[in-house]
Amino acid sequence: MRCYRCNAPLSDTEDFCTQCGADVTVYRRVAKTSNSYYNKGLAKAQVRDLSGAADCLKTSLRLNKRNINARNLLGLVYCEMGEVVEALAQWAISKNIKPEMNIASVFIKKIQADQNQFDELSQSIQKYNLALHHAQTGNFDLAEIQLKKILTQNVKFVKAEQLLALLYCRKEDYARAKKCLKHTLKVDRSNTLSQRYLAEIETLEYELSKENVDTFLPSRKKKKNNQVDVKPLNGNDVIMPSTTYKEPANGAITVIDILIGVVIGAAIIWFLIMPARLQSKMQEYNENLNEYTVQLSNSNSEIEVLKSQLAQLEAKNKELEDTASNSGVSNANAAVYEALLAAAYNYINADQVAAAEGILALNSEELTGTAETNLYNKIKSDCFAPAATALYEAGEEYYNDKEYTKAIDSLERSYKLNGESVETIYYLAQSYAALKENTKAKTYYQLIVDQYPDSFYVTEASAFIKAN
Amino acid sequence: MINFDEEIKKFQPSLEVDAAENAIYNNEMPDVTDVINNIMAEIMIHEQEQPL
Repeated sequence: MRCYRCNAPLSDTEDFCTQCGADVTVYRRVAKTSNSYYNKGLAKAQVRDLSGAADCLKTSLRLNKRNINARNLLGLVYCEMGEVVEALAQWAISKNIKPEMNIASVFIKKIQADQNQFDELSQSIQKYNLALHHAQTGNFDLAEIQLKKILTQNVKFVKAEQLLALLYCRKEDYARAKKCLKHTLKVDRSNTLSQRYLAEIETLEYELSKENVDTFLPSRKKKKNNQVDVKPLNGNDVIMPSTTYKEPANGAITVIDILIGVVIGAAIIWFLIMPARLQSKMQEYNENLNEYTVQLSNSNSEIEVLKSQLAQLEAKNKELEDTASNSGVSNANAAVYEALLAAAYNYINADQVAAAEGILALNSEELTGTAETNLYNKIKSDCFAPAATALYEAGEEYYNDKEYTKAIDSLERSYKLNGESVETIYYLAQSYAALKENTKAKTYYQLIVDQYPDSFYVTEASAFIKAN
Repeated sequence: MINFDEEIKKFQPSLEVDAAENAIYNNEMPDVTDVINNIMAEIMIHEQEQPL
C-alpha cells in the first residue's frame, strides 16, 4: 500500500506515512474495504454473475480509484458483456495510473491486434445506440432489424439482446423474447433485468395458457385406471383404423433408401434423358455430314470444270506448237536465231572477238533462211581473222608475263578461230610445257612437226618430243 | 407486467469509440479517499481559523 498523498510505501505497523506524515488510518480502512469489494466482484465474475461483479467492482473503485486490480477486472467484465469500448476505457485509465507491470497493457494489445474484429464490435455499439434511439422514437421494426444484425456481429452484447427481448415482448412474441433472455443469462448468469423479464414472461404465458385451456379445450378427467373417456358415436363420425406402422429408427434403412433413389434416378436418366440427347447429337451429326457432302460435291464439280479447261488448253497449246513447227520456227531454231542476233549485235558494236566466238558457237546448218546464212557468213569473214589475231597477241603477252593459264585460254580461243597459225600452236605448246603438262604440249608440238615441217619451230618441237 | 415505455427509458446508450477519449479524461471522479482528504483539509483549515 502506498500513501495517498506522497505515494510513498506505507509501513505495515504505523498509522502514518513515514515520508510525509499523513494520517493513513482511515485510508487503510478504505483501501481494505475497496479490496474486499474487489474480492466479492472477483468471486461473482468467476461464476459468471457479470452484472453483480460489475456492481461490486464499481463500488470498489468508488472507495479507491487507484485499485488497479478492480479496474482491470471491471474492464474484463465489460468486455465479456460486449461493451468493448467501456473495457478499453477502464484499461486505459488503469495503465495511466500504473504504466509498468500492468496486465491492462496486455488486454489492450489483444483487443487492438485484430483490428477488423475491433471495428466490427465498435460498429455494433454504434448500431445499438441507433437502434435504441429508433426504439425510443417508435420505429420498432427498424430497431428490431438493427438489433438482429448487431447480435450477429457481437454475440455477447447483453444490452442489445435485452432490448430485442423487450421489443419481442411488446409484440407479444414471448417465445423469441424468452430465447433472447436465456441467451443473456448464459453470458451473465444472474443478470437482474433478464431474470425479471423472464419471470414476467413466464407469468404471462402461464396466465395465457390457463385462459386457453379454460376457453377452448374440453376438460378431461382421467380415471384412476388411466382410461380415456369415450363419447358415443354418431352417423357423421369417421372411424380411423389404428395402424401399427412405425418409422424405422435404423439409419441403415435410410442409407438403403437413398441408394435405391439414386439407382432409380440413374435409370430414369439412362432410359429417358440419354436417348433424347443421343438423338439430338445424331441429328446434329447428320446435318454436318450433309453440309460436308454438299461441299465435297461442289468441290468435285469444280475439279471437273478445271480438268476440262486444262484439256482444252493443252489441245490449244499442241495446236500452237504444231503451227509453230510447220512455220519452220522451233524452240531450237529460236535459240540459234537469238545467238545469231547476239553475234550481229556484237559485230555492230565492233566487238569482233565476241562476235566471232558467238558465230563459232552456232551450227550453220541450223540456219534455214538465206538472210541468216548471209549474216552468219558476213560476220565470220569479217571477224574471225582479226579476233584470232587479237587473241593470239593477248596469249603471247600472257606467256611473256608467265601467266601461262591465261595464255593457254587466249591461245586456244585464237586457235579455234584460226587453226592455221603456227605461232599460236607453238605458244600453246610452250605454255603447256611451262605448266609441266607435257602430254598436251607434245600434242601441239607434234602438230607443228606434222603440219609445219618447214617452220622455224620444228626443231624445237622435235627435240621436245624426243625428250618427252 | 412489463411496461415497455417505462422499461425502454431505463436503457442507456453504450460508450462509443469517439466518446471514449472524453470519458477517460472526465473520469477524475473523487473516490472516498479524496473525499476524506477534502474533509481532513477542511477540518485543518477550520482549526487554524479558530482562535487559540
